[in-house]
Amino acid sequence: MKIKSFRNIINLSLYLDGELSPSKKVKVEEEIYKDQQSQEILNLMQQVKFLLKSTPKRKIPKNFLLTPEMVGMKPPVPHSVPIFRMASVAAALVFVFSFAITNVYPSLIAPKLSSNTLMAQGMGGGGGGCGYDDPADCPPQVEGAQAFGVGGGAPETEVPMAAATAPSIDNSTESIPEETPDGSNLRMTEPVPDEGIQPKIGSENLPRQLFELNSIQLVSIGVSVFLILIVIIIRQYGTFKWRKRL
Amino acid sequence: MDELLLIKDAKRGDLDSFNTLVLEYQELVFNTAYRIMGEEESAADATQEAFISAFTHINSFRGGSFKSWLLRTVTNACYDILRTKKRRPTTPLEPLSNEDEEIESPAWIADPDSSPSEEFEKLELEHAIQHCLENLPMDYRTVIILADIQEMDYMEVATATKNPLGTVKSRLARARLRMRECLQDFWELLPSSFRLDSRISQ
Repeated sequence: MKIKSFRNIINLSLYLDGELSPSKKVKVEEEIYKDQQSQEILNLMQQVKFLLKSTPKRKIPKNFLLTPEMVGMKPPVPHSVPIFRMASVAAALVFVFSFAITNVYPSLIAPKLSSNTLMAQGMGGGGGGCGYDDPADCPPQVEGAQAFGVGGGAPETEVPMAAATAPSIDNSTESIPEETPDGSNLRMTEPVPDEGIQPKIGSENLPRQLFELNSIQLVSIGVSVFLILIVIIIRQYGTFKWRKRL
Repeated sequence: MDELLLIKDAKRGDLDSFNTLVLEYQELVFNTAYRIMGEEESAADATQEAFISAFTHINSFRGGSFKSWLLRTVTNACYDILRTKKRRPTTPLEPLSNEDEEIESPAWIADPDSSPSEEFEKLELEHAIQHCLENLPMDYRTVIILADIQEMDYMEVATATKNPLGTVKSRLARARLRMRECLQDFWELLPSSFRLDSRISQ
């Protein structure tokens, strides 16, 4: 029996699938009619095709639906989020600048203040008080003497600098007799050593001023935190709505 | 289902529309992957990969047969997984029965409406065909799966495999002959209703 060429086998395969042109189809049909080997090959292919066609379909083990995570989709950012975010940053910046100016670089604003203002704030003023919580701890004062010194309160009336010629507080380290209101008892006040005053000023009053926040700072940090919370809530709600829609 | 509209929406990033297409084609895609891979788990992986890839690259679909385009995606996914497996061969685990014994054919694929003997025949046939398909070279295997199992026409197969029409024709003819030769070895195993003519087989 003559072995069919591969070209003939391809033609038989095409004939089986109805892929031949009408003229070629007639030729192949003639060949099949005349040649038994062609008939056998055609039957063989037909059976394989039938066999494969009847292959049972597999049931899918699961649904292959895509989720946003699978395809790397992210929930859309609501329009208001960038606005709130920028406002939050602006409030934070206000806080930082305000804090820096008032606490870290106070010298930037200090020269601009008048001496009156400084005195009103208790900076550089003196003569009125000693800065101790208990007035009994205060060193004795010489009558009529009004001096400016660190730690004192502002004087009620402005005194010319020339008038401040009274002995300074440093001179009061000696024991000075003090007359009680009734004038009967003289009490010797305890001498206050120099080194005793310095720590009081440096360790209590100064740090308290450094970390005290003024109203602008409090408001700006509050607004910043509030806006951050708003941004978080809006984003969470947007994500929730987006997932629900999907 | 308006396929073109769904594709258009999917191109705009609408996942719901694409999932409608997934529901429509997932059985076809999974079965194609299963015939190429011969394993359910790998086929499921390839199917999922193919759908993800199809969604992310849907803008590269320029019309024509979406089915062919999708099958090309799954064929590529199968090739990738097979290549990876070739580099890192593993021993597949058979599913376990209630008594913790390995079962060769998963019970969940059985059709509850058919009798045990029919079920057995189906499984025999499926094993024989799958074995022969896996013995074919990958290019022949893909062509015969698409043409004879998925019943796609030559043009669709050519699109899905990215091959010229002439190549598809010759590969299909060769694949059919090779399948026939292979099935000779399963002559005794094949159910009577599917037995080929013994005269031809000799």
